[in-house]
Amino acid sequence: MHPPHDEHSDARAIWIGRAAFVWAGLIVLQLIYLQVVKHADYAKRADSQQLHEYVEQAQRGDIVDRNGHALAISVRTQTAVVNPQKIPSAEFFAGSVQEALGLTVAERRELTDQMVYLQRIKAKKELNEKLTSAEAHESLNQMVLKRHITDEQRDRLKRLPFKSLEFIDDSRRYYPNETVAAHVVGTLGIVGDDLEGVVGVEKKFDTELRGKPKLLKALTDSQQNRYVTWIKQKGEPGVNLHLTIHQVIQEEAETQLELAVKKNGGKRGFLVAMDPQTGEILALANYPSFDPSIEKPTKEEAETRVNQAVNLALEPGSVMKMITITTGLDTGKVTPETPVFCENGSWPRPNRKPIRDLHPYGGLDVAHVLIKSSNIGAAKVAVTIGRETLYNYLQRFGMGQRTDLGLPGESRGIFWPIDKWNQSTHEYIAFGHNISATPVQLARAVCVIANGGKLVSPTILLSKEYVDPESGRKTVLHVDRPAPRQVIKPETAHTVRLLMQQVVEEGTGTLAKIPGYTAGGKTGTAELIDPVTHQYLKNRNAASFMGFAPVVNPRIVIIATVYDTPQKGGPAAGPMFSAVARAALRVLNVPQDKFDAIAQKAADEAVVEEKKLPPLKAPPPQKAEPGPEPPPSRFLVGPKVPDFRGKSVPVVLKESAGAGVPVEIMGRGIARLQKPPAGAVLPPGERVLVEFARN
Amino acid sequence: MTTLAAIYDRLSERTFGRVAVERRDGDDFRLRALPREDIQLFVKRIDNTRMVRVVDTRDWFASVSMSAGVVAAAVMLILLLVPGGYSLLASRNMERLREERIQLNNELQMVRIKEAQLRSAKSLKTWEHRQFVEPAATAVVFAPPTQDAVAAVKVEGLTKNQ
Repeated sequence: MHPPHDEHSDARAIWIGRAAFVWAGLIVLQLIYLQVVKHADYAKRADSQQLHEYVEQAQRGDIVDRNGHALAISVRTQTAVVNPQKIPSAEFFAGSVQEALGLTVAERRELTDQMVYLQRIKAKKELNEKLTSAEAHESLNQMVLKRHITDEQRDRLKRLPFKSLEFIDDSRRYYPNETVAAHVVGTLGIVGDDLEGVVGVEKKFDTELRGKPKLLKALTDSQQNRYVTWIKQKGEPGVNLHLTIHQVIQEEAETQLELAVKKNGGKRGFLVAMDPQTGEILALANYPSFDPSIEKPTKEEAETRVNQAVNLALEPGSVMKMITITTGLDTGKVTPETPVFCENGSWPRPNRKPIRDLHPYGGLDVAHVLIKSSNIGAAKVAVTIGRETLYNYLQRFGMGQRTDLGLPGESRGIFWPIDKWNQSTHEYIAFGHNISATPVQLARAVCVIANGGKLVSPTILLSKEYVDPESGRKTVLHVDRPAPRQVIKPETAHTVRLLMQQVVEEGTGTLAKIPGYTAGGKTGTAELIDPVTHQYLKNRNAASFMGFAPVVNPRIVIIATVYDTPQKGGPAAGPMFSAVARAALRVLNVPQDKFDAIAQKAADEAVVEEKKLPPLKAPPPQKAEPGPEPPPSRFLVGPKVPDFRGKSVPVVLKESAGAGVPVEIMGRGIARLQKPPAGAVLPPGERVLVEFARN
Repeated sequence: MTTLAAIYDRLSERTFGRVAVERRDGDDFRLRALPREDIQLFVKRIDNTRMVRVVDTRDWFASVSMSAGVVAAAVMLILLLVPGGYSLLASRNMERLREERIQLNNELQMVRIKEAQLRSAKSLKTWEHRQFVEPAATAVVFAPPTQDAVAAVKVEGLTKNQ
């Protein structure tokens, strides 16, 4: 049976169906129009709303000292910016953000004034009015509200109803050691719109520390939160730099430098401490120092940021006598016993200014020319050496050549080519005038004496470390440096070391003595020159001491200078050298090689204790190979090995230090064997191996 | 509504004129007219007690197949959308984890900064001159010795359970 049929219903249904069909057709047409005809246009609008490109700056590399202690670390932060052209009322805006950012009343006023200023410039531009140079360089569409905002501040700002308020990625550099090593590490400064290194290692290695930024594309929702991100261009993190600086030695150097400058009435000071074997700079200090965390320094603060230990070339003064005497000894033109008549304090020359000594000396030998620091003696040695030879050796010692240690703005000093020398230039250069050198150049020259005659390349950079951001794996990239080259004979270096030891023991550098250690060095007092009149200034000196310790196998070279002081080099810089060297030798675990009264007592008590032990069997006799007959002077050859057999450790150490013979101790008790045997001549750089045993 | 009915009547006048006349004349089930309205309501009691429902397998099949079709379409739509939705959620999760990594890295850097400040040479010098005080003997508590301890400190008055 068929259901009841209503023809009315059929007709209505048919007409409704037709209407629906027409309606659906219109919808489909509209869809085709939107999705096919207008596809490109709407896709473009969607991209402009949702698709954004971001530049993610790489994490700036860390700077650490030689033991891994952090000297500079970066942390990612955010900076709040706003488009001032989209803010109708600057006053209202400033009032709204004041609480969110914790601004003071003065800061709020400054913010308002800045916004109004930028809006005014925009208005002038639109009216085609002429802009001043400062106005033309202003960024009109972006104004920084506050840098390095906290998360709480960002959340509070997000709640404000200002759509032109944005947050850009930023980073903040922290210097945990504050002013320590500030001139070496450097600082960042705002250059244009960017933050980049402006001083020190931060500037020299700015490109490597920055890394490469990552280019990202992201889809954002209506709240501007990213929900899909992909990498358009891969970035690289900044390289971590390991410096040669030892933070304990650096801190001690800066403390002692400040004390010395203030005590001696100086205006500035600098100190360089180096490892003579490798050229690694363990400390480089300037006084006054500065706070590297200040990104916008005042003019006075900016002046303190000059690294004068590297940039400032000074007349070295008497420290140059070290090179003069070394040249004479190395060429064989003089010996330490060669007599020199020092003209009783004044040496007049025809048509030239006389050369004077501080104290009048009559006859001295070359050794005492250095020990007593006679200008006339040094000048006469230079005359004996000859101009060309002296020039050649000054070049060998690196005068007039940059050290390329890895800090910006290094000066090469003033060292005229020989064809510009007049007839007396070499005489004045002999005692440190008519030539200028930076403290780092002088330290490098002392290293030649300290390490047996090799010119090393000073460096501030130990290695570079690259950290893979995904895996965290560290790759160390070693820094290539030129190999040291032999510039004088090792015997000459040994001889000069012994002479310089006498400077400290009995000469002008007695205040530089180090308790428990032998030391050698040279004082220098260079009068400053008036830049206007080019005359020497009275009672305004660059007072220096450069030296090394210990004398046998030196482990540290230090040059310390107090600038613009009425004092002389010995009293002004000698104590500074002593204090810093003592701290450095302790930190570097260098055993003491000089016994003072307390150590002597302890050594004697140890000998008494050893004698209480039961008698031991006599060791079999060791045949000693006869060495060459020693010449009369004790300065010209290497030390002769004493006989240590049958002696205790303290006695062996005492005798070896007195003879200038480095020993290597093995075991405890009584010395049984030694190598090389007694009577042999010890080659430079070698040690005597002594084996001890109780029975 | 009245206009629509009038239009409809006019369109179907030829075929359904009789029905319209009947409608105009029949008033058996007409309710009282509403004032100023052309709408006429009718009520009719329908007695379905003698109606027998005829099972139409074609209708049943049609309705079941329509339901199945709708369900299938819905499932297909979900299957089409699920991967996209899942990847969207995963992307959001990845973004959240990326931001968390940046935040943790920042916190690590801050900890390193704090450590460097505490271990700086100046800070160590400050601690170097501190006079650390030995605590009073009664304030020191010794841990009880273990079974295999070679040496132990005997503290008078200390019972086994203390």
